[in-house]
Amino acid sequence: MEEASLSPSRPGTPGREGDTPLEPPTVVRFDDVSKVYNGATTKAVDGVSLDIRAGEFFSILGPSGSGKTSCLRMIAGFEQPSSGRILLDGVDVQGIPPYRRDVNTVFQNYALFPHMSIEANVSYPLRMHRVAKHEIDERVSETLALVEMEELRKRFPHQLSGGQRQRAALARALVGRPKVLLLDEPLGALDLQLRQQMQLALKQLQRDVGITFVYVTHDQGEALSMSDRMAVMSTGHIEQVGTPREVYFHPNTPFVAGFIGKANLGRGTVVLESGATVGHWGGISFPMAADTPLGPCAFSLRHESVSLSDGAGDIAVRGTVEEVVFLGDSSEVMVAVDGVTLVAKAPAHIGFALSNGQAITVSFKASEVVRIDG
Amino acid sequence: MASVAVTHEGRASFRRRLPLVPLAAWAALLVLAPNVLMLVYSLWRTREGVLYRVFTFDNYIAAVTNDVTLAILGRTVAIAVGAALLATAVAYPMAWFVVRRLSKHRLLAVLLVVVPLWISYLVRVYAWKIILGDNGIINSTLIELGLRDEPLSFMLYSKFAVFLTLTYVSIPFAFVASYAALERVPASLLEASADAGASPARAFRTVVWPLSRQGAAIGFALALLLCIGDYLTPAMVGGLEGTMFGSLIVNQFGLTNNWPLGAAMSIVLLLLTGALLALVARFTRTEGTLD
Repeated sequence: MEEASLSPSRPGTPGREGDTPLEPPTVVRFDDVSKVYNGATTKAVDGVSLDIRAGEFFSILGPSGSGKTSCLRMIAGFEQPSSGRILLDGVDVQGIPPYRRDVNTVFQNYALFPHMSIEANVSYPLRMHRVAKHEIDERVSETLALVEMEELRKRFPHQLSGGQRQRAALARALVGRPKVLLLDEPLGALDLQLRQQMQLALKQLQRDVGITFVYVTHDQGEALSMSDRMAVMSTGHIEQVGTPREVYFHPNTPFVAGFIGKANLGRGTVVLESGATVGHWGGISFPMAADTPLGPCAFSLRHESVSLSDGAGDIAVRGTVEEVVFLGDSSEVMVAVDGVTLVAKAPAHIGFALSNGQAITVSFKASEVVRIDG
Repeated sequence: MASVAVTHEGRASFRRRLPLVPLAAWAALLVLAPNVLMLVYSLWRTREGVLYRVFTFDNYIAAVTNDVTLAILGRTVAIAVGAALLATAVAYPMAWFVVRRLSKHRLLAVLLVVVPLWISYLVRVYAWKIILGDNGIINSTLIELGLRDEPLSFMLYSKFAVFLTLTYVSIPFAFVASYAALERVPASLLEASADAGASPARAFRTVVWPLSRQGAAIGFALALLLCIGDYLTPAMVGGLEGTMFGSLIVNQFGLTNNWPLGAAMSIVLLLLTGALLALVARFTRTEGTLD
């Protein structure tokens, strides 16, 4: 079940032509890839299988140490898998050095050559591939225009700001028109405002050039806002692959539910009561879809799905306010309900009006409760 | 009012510069004074060991018109440049290997290269006498093995011996300078270069060398300075054939007792070395900085 959701095309079939016509071909395939670094006792990457399709913006999201950067470095060829295979465009790239792979990387610290002008940095990949001089000029200008860096082409990296360096690094990685562009937390070093601008710019750019982007980040906001599909990783393995919407609203595992957004997580059980499927979470009961598996499970309910008024959802319960946390644009209100503490996200001014110990009614839609295995 | 402000400012800037005074005095005493003294001496006249404080260019003319002196100067430059180049050529790849390939034992490797510097210069030169001599390690081994009947004579008391010994003593200096430069080249630049399609050889030529050649040049310069003025090594392993310019200068201050000529020769060597170093600096300059 989980295997099928990880790889949309069946393992064993060639990614290029075997798929249905609507589904673009696979460009990067991880086939049960594991990586153990020299001297390490645990696997940095543990049995990852993954298909990345042509032209998509694919994010790998995970906390630090989850193995996401290792995955990226194995695609680039800086690291070799300890076991399993990586296929680029259907070809096993085991043993192929980075300089013979048709992928380019935007490095976390940009890694611009300090002794070359921006122009020389951007033309570097073309010069290494011995592209004709006039074509180099043309493509460098074109790519610099794409990232709006034409005026700064004669400058050196140390004369640029962080955002400008980032765009120069992007231009250098794009100029060779790689099959896949790998981005290793490229916005990590930028301040918040610039980061949000660059998110939009990156997504726009990816649509314009049509190159497959593989984007590694620990920032769920970036992954959710830019990706066509994303993989969530934790401790070396993949927790879930899906569209941002699927991952956000239908987390497969408690880890995903807890890592992405803010959710109420708790253990409960699903039972059959006089013909209806009912979930019990502490003292709260709510109907569930008829095909929900029965038995003990975990439940997840997003903070923003919990409302502090009784009319907003079909399930209303009484509780008492435990604590109110002011977050600036909103408040988190913790409400103790029948052995469960539900956290509700509320507008700041509503939070101000509440005091600890006050009785309150909270409500939510039963359909927004997600049942999770485990 | 205005004048008060100026005085205040003047006083403040004087205070700021105060700590520089001992520094300047130090430099003047140790660097400037001896050289000025030498320059003055080189412009004085001498006859039969007696010094006359009369201005003359004769010493310079004597220093650069004597065929034997010039031949030895040429040999000195050839040997010193050759030894410094070879030392750098050996030390630079060694440093690259240590920086790139060793991680745990990196410091140990650096220490091993530098350790000979703890031993007296004289002892290190003497060691080559033991290796190269007629009864030395190489010759006795060759004879022992029956490969030769008599010892190879070109090895000790020759230009070759001076060249080899100077190369050997230069290597630690060239190594340390190259190592310091290469260690500063971030590994991510090598990855970026490979990522852009550069083979390891091209990555070296386009990224590593431009970013480290200044270090290599400093190593070369240190080695050159060490070699070009040396008189100990030629005296111990050079014999007649291995005489260098430094030996001639020492003679002027000792045996021959012609200080003005010695001073003029020193200045000639100084200018020549300066010119050589300027040339090296010119060809190893790199724009842009590693931060």
